[in-house]
Amino acid sequence: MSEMDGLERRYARLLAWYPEPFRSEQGGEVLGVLMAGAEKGQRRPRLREHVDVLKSALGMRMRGVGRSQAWTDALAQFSFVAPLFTVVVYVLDVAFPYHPSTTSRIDGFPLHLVPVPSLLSQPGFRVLLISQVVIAVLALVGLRWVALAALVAASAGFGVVINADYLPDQLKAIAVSFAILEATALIASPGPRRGCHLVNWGHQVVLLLLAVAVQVSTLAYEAAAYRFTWPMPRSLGWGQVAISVALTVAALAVVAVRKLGWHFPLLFGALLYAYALLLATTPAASSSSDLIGSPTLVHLALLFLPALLLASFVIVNATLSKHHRRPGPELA
Amino acid sequence: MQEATFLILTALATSSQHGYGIITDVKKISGGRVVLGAGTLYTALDRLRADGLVVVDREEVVENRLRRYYTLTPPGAQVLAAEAERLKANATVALTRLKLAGGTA
Repeated sequence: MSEMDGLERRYARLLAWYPEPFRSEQGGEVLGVLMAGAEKGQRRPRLREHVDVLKSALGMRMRGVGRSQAWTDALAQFSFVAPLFTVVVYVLDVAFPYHPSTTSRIDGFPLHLVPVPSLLSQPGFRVLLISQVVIAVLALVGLRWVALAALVAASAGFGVVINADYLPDQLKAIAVSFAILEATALIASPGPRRGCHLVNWGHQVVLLLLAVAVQVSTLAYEAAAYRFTWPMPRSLGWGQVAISVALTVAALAVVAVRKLGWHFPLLFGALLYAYALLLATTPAASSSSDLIGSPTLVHLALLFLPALLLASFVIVNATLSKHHRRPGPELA
Repeated sequence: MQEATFLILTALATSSQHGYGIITDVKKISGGRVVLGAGTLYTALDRLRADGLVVVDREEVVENRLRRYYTLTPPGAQVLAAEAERLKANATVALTRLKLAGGTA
């Protein structure tokens, strides 16, 4: 074996730090450049070359180079769109709050005479709303790590107020799912700045349709739960639920027609799963079996397992290839 | 824009070049001050391709190894021109102020 063969083999071993798809596509090319730059008689990669390649390879892994482009893009889009979505949901909840019907009565008492507290007057809600606006602004300007720090801080603050009775359950569910998935997207995707470039009007329509669907079904949920004055469960407003389902179907139709891919709606599905489950179990819920008000471990698993599983899958997907350190076919 | 990125775009401004050609040209342009490593070069090229500023112009096989030639796209040329103008304006202001202050310029 000549000196050059030995050097080439050692360079190839060094390039194994790169993600496998990158090596498959460009490994031979990079190897050629390294060999062209090698000094006569050089037998091993120099320290500077080790550092340079390691820095480059780890940077590519951090940015998700080599993972499924569709999956990476969907995460980037989600990191940008999800904070906006939650802000829109909260704003809609403030703009169109639940009001009992003037004909609603329980044991002869007209419900509409009982004042519903404004969400904006609730400290817990203010924490949620302000933190979401801050995270959305940071995501909009592309400051992913600052946005992540804000998300962690907001989650800590939210943890303090999550048991507050005056916070609507559906907002708690969306907030927890959002924290799990947005943190994942900020860490594992190329970031919201890349997401901003990839978002088109189709995504915006999907976002708006889903936000309205959430608010319409929230009104149905509030009519059934009406926790402020009357904890007794009542039946859901099925008309409103039907409208929500129709809006969701319309959103999925936009996804199909605009060919937005299934990764993006899957992420939103995981985001809204806990909310949908909460809505589905409302008629049977009572104060003692409240899924999120006084949750057990089983409740939490039921509510947030899909989001946690998806987050784990994405993180594992981002780091798994780090263990594939054997050279690609053309580098061996 | 980082200096390495600026120099890579500059190296591609007149004609397409392969990886090692870019490295030697960047060294020449910078007067030997900037010596790109292969890792740094391909990280930058990966980003520039993702942003649509650089594309692969053609491929050749040399000594049983694929060699790709990269070239600037029209948006890449615009970005380079804008950055060059920005640096030129900054340099002009700096030199003017140094002269006013009776400095070394």
